[in-house]
Amino acid sequence: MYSWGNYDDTLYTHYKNPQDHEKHLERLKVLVTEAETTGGGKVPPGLYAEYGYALYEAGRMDEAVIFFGKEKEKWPESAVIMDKMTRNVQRQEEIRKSQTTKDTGSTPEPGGQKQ
Amino acid sequence: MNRKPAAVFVSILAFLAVSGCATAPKKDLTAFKSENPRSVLVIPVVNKTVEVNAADYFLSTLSMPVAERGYYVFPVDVVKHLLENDGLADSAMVHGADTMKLCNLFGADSVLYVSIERWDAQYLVLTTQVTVAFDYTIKGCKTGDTLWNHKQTMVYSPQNQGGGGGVGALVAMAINAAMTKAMPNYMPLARQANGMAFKYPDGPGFPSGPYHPDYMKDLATSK
Repeated sequence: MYSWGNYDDTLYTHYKNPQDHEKHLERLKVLVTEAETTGGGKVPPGLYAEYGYALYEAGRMDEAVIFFGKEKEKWPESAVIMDKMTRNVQRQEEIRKSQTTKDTGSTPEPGGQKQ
Repeated sequence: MNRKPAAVFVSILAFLAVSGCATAPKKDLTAFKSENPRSVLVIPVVNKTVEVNAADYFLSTLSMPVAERGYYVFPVDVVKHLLENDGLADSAMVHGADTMKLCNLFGADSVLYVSIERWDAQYLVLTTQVTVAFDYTIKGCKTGDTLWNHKQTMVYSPQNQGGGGGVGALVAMAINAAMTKAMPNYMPLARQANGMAFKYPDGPGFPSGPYHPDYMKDLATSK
């Protein structure tokens, strides 16, 4: 029913090399793009969320929120968890912004922020 | 006959004989039908074997077959991370946690518990036999009760066909065994086991979910 591409291999590869964030992100992006285009929009459940999470881990917060929103829109069953993820990102962004204004001169890496 | 180079090559490529376990009696799906879940939360897999990475590998194969049955499947990797953040890094702890708590945390309708009972290769002189066994249980979020359970065992071994044998065939078998030993690849076997386990109505699986064209139509097939 869905355009999975090599979804399971992508996860499998990520579990094998958990530090391989950038490549994992890139692979997920390919899966999303393929499902939306050649896959005729048959994006499988969970894929937008997995991509959103990889973006979040990379510190690309605005994009992460967009993909959590896409997951929720396509799959209402995911609403509880996607809302939670979105709030989580927004909270971290607020913390980051307040710290950036306090520590003038230092611009922290997005995503590298730990409280 | 089998000694032709091409034939030997073909047997090195190993056509694999796959055998499932005997057909189980029809399952009682009354509870499943009455809860009628739309979504399945696939939680990290419990590994009862010595194969260290088996749980993560197997987890990656579960979303596809369950989603293709017509259910919303929560993103397994996101779920795994969120559980870790919640102090549930160990899958045995997740499986031991209150089902309702898991349901509420994710807003799920049901939870799929999977444990790996066997995941091993038996190295014989001229062949390698790989065995996997999985236990699948779905619990409902309305009651916490078990809605469906299935145990799936799969064995696969390189097919040693052709009674003639001869040196060529023996060499092929030995190469085959060595290859399997060097790099046993369980992923295809895991996918096959899932395929058998979730098959419905002519299999031990469960009725189609809301995203499947057969939703509400295949309910009557098994009583």
